[in-house]
Amino acid sequence: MHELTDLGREMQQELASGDRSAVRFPVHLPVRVMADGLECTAETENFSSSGALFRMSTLLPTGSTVHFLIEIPAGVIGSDVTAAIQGEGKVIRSYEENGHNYSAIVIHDYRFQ
Amino acid sequence: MKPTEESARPIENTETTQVPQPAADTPPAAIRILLADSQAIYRVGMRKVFALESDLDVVAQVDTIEQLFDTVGKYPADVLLIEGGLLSGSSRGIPEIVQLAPGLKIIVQTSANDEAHTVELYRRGVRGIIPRSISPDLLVRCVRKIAVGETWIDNQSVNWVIKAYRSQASALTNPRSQPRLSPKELAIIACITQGKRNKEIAFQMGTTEQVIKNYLRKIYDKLGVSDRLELALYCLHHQLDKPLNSEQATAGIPVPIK
Repeated sequence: MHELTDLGREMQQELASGDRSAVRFPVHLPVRVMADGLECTAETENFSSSGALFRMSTLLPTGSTVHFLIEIPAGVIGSDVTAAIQGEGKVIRSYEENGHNYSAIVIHDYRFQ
Repeated sequence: MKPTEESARPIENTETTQVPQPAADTPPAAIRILLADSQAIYRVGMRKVFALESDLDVVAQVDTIEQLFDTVGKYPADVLLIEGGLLSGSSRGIPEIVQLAPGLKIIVQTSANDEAHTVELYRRGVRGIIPRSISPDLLVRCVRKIAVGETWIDNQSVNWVIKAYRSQASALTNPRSQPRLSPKELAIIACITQGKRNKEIAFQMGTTEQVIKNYLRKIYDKLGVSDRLELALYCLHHQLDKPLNSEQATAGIPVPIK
């Protein structure tokens, strides 16, 4: 017997989150981000129903509240009109990698527009 | 303790229900344990094992799952030690316990392990699975570990859980595993991603809200998603517009649902 590693614990949390887990989809979409009075554009690196990873020009401060707007072009998900997802979350991690800035957020609330 | 009358009754120990004191010089609160086992000999044995430990208190014990449902709300506990046999024949056992007492950490005692059962137990929120033949020392150690939020799992079960995790994740992101959606289902998805409420979709399609809910549940089950955002992400990832455009349905063209 032994204790779970962080990875194992994360996996168990995902498994235990219900019959389905919050899978991260590698979808790349343009996103408008507003945080701490700063507004900028970014691109999603991956996205799940509970969080997202943004690639952006500036690093967002960890812990800051984020408002985001993701536009889904017409025809992408079965609609002939443009759709959008407006959401609010919190930055849990920001880092630089290979010359790019990344900010990971947890999503607190969202709605389609 | 008399094994004959052990039905959902508290153990006489006033310390078990006390609120932990925050002062630094006071000992930490005891771990409150709830025992659920159909066999009196196991309940008696485990109580004796825990009685030797000052930090472990058995607050109640039951011998059926129905008694357990009644008890979890009445006697707050940190850890539930339940015989696996009490859960057999019912899929609602663990989810109902979790719903009744979200903070309760569950350990299941089983006489035999199999992959599907083990993965399902961990998936449903169980923190540890131990054999019926576990030694007293290991049992005490397991309860302490789980009470502080850790997980108790053997090497074989780790492999089973990892395998289940990988297959679950890949099934959702693998385009080859796309289930077929009907034009009506695709039309409903299009409406969802435009931010329409079920009532609005029902009105647009000339049906009732309940019918839309039923369709939505079926779509969620087919795609393995859990909410509207995950549904939209799934569609984005799999580009579900392609089959839709090849058929007649779009959000702008109401599709009658009978």
